[in-house]
Amino acid sequence: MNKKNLLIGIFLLLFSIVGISQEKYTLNGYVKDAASGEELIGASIYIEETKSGTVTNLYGYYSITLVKGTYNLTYAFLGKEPQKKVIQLNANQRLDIELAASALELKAVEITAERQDANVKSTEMSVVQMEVKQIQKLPALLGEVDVLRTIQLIPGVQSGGDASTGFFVRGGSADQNLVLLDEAVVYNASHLFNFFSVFNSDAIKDLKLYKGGIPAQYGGRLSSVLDIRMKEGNQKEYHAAGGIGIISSRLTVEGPVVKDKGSFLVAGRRTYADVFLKLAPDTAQRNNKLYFYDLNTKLNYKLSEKDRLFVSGYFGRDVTSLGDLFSFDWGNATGTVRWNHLFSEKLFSNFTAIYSNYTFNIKGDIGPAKFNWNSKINDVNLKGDFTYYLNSNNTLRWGISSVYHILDPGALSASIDGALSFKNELSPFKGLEHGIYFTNEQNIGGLVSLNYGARFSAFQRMGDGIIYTYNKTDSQVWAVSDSLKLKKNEIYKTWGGFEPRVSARVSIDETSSIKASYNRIFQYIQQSQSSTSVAPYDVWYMASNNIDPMRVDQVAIGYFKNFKRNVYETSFEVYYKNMHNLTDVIDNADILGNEFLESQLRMGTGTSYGFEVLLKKAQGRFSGWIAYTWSKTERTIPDINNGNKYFAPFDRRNNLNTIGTFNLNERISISANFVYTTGRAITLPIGRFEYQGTVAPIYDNRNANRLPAYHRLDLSVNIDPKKKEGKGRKFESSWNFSVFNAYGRKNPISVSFSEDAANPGQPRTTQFYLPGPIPSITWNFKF
Amino acid sequence: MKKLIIYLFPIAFVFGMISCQKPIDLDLFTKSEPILVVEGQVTTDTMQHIVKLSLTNSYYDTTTLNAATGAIVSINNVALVESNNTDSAGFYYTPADFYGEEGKTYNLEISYNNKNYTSSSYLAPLPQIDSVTIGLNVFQFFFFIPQLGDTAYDLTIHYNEPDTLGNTYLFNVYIDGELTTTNPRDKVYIDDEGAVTGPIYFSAQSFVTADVVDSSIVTLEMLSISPDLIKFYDTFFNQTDLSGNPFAGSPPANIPTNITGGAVGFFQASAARRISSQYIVGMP
Repeated sequence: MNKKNLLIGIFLLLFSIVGISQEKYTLNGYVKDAASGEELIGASIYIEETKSGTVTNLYGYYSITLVKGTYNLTYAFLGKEPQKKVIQLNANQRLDIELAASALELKAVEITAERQDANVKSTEMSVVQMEVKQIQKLPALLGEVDVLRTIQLIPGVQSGGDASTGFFVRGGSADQNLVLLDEAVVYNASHLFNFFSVFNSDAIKDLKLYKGGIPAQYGGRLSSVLDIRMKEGNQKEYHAAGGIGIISSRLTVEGPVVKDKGSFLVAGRRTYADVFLKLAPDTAQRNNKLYFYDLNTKLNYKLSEKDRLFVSGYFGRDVTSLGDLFSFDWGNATGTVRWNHLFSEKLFSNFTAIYSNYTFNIKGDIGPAKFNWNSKINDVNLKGDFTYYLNSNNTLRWGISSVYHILDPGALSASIDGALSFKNELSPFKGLEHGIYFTNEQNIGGLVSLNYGARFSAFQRMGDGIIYTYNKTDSQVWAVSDSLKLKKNEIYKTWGGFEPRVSARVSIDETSSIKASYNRIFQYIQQSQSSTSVAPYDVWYMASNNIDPMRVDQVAIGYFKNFKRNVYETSFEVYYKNMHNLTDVIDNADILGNEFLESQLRMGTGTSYGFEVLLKKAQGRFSGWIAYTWSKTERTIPDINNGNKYFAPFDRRNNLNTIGTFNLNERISISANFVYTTGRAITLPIGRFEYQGTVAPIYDNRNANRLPAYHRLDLSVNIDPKKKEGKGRKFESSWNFSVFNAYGRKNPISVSFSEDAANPGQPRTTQFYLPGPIPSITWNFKF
Repeated sequence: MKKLIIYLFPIAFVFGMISCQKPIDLDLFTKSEPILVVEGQVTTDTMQHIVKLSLTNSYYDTTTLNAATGAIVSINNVALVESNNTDSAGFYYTPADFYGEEGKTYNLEISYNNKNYTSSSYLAPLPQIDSVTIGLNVFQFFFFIPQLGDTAYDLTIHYNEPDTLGNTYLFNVYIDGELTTTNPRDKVYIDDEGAVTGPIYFSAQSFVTADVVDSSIVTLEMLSISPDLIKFYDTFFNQTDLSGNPFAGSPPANIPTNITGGAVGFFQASAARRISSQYIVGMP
């Protein structure tokens, strides 16, 4: 074979275009839930003749191109009755399928909604997909089903501790997670000082977490993507569902706008912890407030067979106050408008406009003294994504996106008797983030599949705002040497980079495969790592003359094997991550309300590596998983810890998570989860000194010590309604009894060192912890 | 600057309603070599100025801290004399006619156990004080006063802030001649960051009724200090009172020092002025 032929051969192999001219047609359509008309994400379509298949995309759409002929197809989705279809493909054909609930459903709490052997067959690795329905059966803190707490049970994901729905993926800090709700970035995903997440499980359909091998359509965060999709609303009939719990109540209403053409969903939730404050013996406490609420809304409408419109929104607020003296509230608001358009049977497109906002406000009003602090983050994002189903072996994806970021730390002000006594106006950070990507998902002869492509990302820092130059001769104290006031919309500087993304699967046999992936990602905006603080004073900043964009290179390799007809799934993954331009704060950094924030930050490198083992039983009366993670995350930053390597605060060596659900009968199921992790890395005192009569600690190197190990057992019992026969709307109710931290382990949230107020000179070490066990009862209903 | 506390307080309060606290025993390592601790001050007052030297202990060792005796100490080449009294072991005194001058830099030199330590501090000028007023406190919720609800007082000092920025002051309170702001946590200090030039409203440390009674003579002492001392006190406060609290602003870290050679502590040269007023019950 000469060189030219070899090239042609490679080309042909790459695009798998068989050199024989054959007539080909495309079969396409949507796969939906028969009961609600909602599109099913990740439903599988299997073609017997070709022994290949496809899955529906995030909008339930699929497209397969095949040679003219007769085909036996199976449409399947976990928990639904599979449907077989015989298709005479002699023209392009649209086929929308509705899958009804399987008679066998509810027998088991399946932990996954994936295609039964998807873990072995897809190119994706380091990915977990879950249906919220299944999360709802797991034990819940105070009866609030929380997707973020469930995420923390996945191997490779570390929790921030009890007071934390924050999560850390494979050694990445919390701000390296791209948390998306219907494609809108959620900046602060927690309510009530991290005890609860902002996601109301009643309004959520599906979530997917990427820990590695992150596809090119996502960018801007180094470590993970948590893609959460809201329910669309029932297209066929009106329904209401809700729950009443110890600290909160929920209500969701959904129904058709026009039957089978459009639907709406409104879901609200409010906690009423403050109701109990009304009973407080101290009358002053009765006027205090402590609650949160959130509202999810979604509307979708089928404009034509080729066009669908989705409008969704989220609004949530946390409200706290101390009588009339202080008030403190914060929350997110997001809005997404999406338009799906089919240019042809093979070309699926989605155009999106997104608005995302996070604000917090602190107010004080004490006699003549008043103070105020307002801060906000705003994003406006426009993007277009395209999927081209070239043929049964190649699916091309490309897209373009631009985000306008405004990070406005706001102004702190105080006044006495109406006269301004203190004002600290912080300059805003503004920038444009762009991304363009192209990928191909390719099957090569059934045994090998590849997903390769790249993203090119760019960031433009722009006015207004102030760029400070610092004199860095003293490595610990940077003094401002110059400042540059940017004009509105003036572009100060542009950064950019090429981000290759590759993943591959090689099948060993029908039940096992080896997968590998590599991704590079740039991150241009980030959050201060000042502490393990639970306070929602989020301090975000972006690339500047002092801060370079962060960059990660991650490689992962894994072995996947299923046993007993996919009843048992196992996987073993190893990963290594190299992070550049990571920032951390100097010792005793002043982060809050500091105009010269960047003088408190230093850049360096980080590495994270480890392995994850998962054994999962997804079917049967007993289901659950055991996950073990070994990991190590370190940083080296020249001006921090004397330039020596140190552990990231969320570094934990061993992490064991187990979940199990056992169905006693058709109605009653028992669930439990147990977590054991090495304690978080902290800095402890190694000595003390006395100054002006007060004892102060002398500390060890940064994060050189550990909190005690964390372990916890949660239990729950679910009682489902009796199955009622017949058609139409029925009232059903179920109960959930949960105990969080069943054996009352006092897991430290943090440890503080102070002088014993009662015995001056005596040191006192105090740990903060969430009390336990915490029982809860929730009554859920739907009709 | 205690501004942080204003914002942390509501969080601390709310968090306190949700979480619990308990003492915990942790295995803490002991630093094998004790470190020298320096506490020194020079002011414009003519008097015996003191430099105290001591040594660090292991964290849980609550025995009296060891004095560092036998050191050779000097300030601007004026030798200090070591105390021979056991109650003041580790104290080193300047001659009684020693005084600092505005605009001058003071250099501290210590030789202890064959090791040399140095520090230098610029003695910054101080504006004239106009007056002091005493009134009932309105800020008592802002600070961690011993007993919420006790009567507390505001001491307001009026002075002419120079137009130039970068001035930092420390205030001490004396009641009937006795210093009440003894330890670093009680110290009140400000810089002019974010301030409007001209007379500054300044709310001093709140203190309980026991300290101010009818006819008390309240004295406010104003000292010029270096911005580094503010950082030192801020950190001292954070690391001794807030460190490790889940709502604290910064993770545990060593308190900075202006002593070179591996010691901890601080050496400060200050201009000092005082103003007194008598408190009569029913004063407006």
